[in-house]
Amino acid sequence: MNVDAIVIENIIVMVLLTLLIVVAVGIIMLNDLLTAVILSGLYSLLSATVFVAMDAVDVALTEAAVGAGISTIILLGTLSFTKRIQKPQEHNNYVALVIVCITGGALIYGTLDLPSYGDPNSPANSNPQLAQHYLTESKKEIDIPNVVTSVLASYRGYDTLGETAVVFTAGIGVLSLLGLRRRRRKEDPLLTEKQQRKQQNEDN
Amino acid sequence: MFLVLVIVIVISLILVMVRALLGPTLYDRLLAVNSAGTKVVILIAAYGFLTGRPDFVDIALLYALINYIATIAVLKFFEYGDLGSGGYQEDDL
Amino acid sequence: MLLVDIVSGVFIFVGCLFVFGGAVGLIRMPDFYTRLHAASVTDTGGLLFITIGLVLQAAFVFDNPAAAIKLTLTIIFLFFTAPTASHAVAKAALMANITPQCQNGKSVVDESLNSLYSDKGKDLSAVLMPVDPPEIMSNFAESKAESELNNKDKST
Repeated sequence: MNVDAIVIENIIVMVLLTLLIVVAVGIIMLNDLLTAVILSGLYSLLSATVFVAMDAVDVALTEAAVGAGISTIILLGTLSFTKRIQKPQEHNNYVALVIVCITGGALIYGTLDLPSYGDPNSPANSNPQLAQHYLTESKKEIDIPNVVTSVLASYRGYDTLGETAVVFTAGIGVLSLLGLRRRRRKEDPLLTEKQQRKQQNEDN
Repeated sequence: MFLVLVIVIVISLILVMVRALLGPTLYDRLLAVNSAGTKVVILIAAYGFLTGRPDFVDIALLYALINYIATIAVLKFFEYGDLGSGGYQEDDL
Repeated sequence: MLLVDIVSGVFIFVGCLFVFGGAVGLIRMPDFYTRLHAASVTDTGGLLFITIGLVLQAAFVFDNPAAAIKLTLTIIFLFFTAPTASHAVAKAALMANITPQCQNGKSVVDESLNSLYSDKGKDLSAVLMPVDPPEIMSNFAESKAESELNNKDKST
């Protein structure tokens, strides 16, 4: 790939990131919650495209499945229990704005220490022994043929454990929300009535 | 050729997003988001060809399916007011 | 190789025209149904042409038959799902009593009745239908739901 293509690729990524900001601001400004849900689907579509453009294909796959598919459906399910229009806010909460700005500024300050995207001098790239070690020795050390699996599950095991805990907590949350409804339905007199009717039908 | 394709699709994506943000009715926004989904599918497929590795089309395929599911879920929400209606109506009665 | 490049280039160019025209139509058209028409038809067509061009490139230039097969699957899926989604959007909008608009912003139902009866000197209020099409649709849906309910009661 020549230099022009890299420049154009960067321009495309920047355009997509700008679109992401525009959509995010649009979501904040809207009062209609249903529209916000629909636009959040658009947001995750765009962010997944950015991931593809930055070569993070696995993250893009996850974002496509979870962000555009499942989270839209879960948010819609939530909306069916509430109202569609946001309550108007009487007061402006400036303290929250200050706290958010400080936290965001600290996070941006933290990213300054990270190596920039595709930096050849970053530790991961300037240490060829590391990648070489993973590629050649993982078969001996972990005894799994797939290198990606051994990196994810063993060399980076604590990270994966934390991710799994997060997903597990989210799953428990969803189950508790859905399960409550079903248990209440079992106590519903309508159901026993239906069972009675079914028994009557069987008797007839 | 792929460069022209990608640029045209990014410009179309911007135009469609203008409609998604302006759209007077909810259905305009929904239509725009659906259309943007199709364009993103083409964009991802074309991007793989632009960078010389057409292996990314898996994601385009996944997108094509996910986008349809999301649109149908939203429309089902419009029609019935919640997502479960078609499913457990028989249990309720 | 040159022939494949030319053929797939033509396909991709036509597809680009479709997609860009559809996007401009989505911005420029005056009301929802015309926008729907502009967006849905051109999306499906543009996708078809662009993907055919990409399949040709993948199969003959990049020598990657797996990618070509996956792209073909994408065409097949989207050729079924995109029109279905557009149809569902149109149906939901019709159920929500959004009627097509004329250029002066009035509903197309009133406007056609006006043009039919205004020159014959008839009284419009007597002619205007009390029920406009979306209401008929929702009435139909209600009666259908009722009949289903009745059927269910009979069967149980």
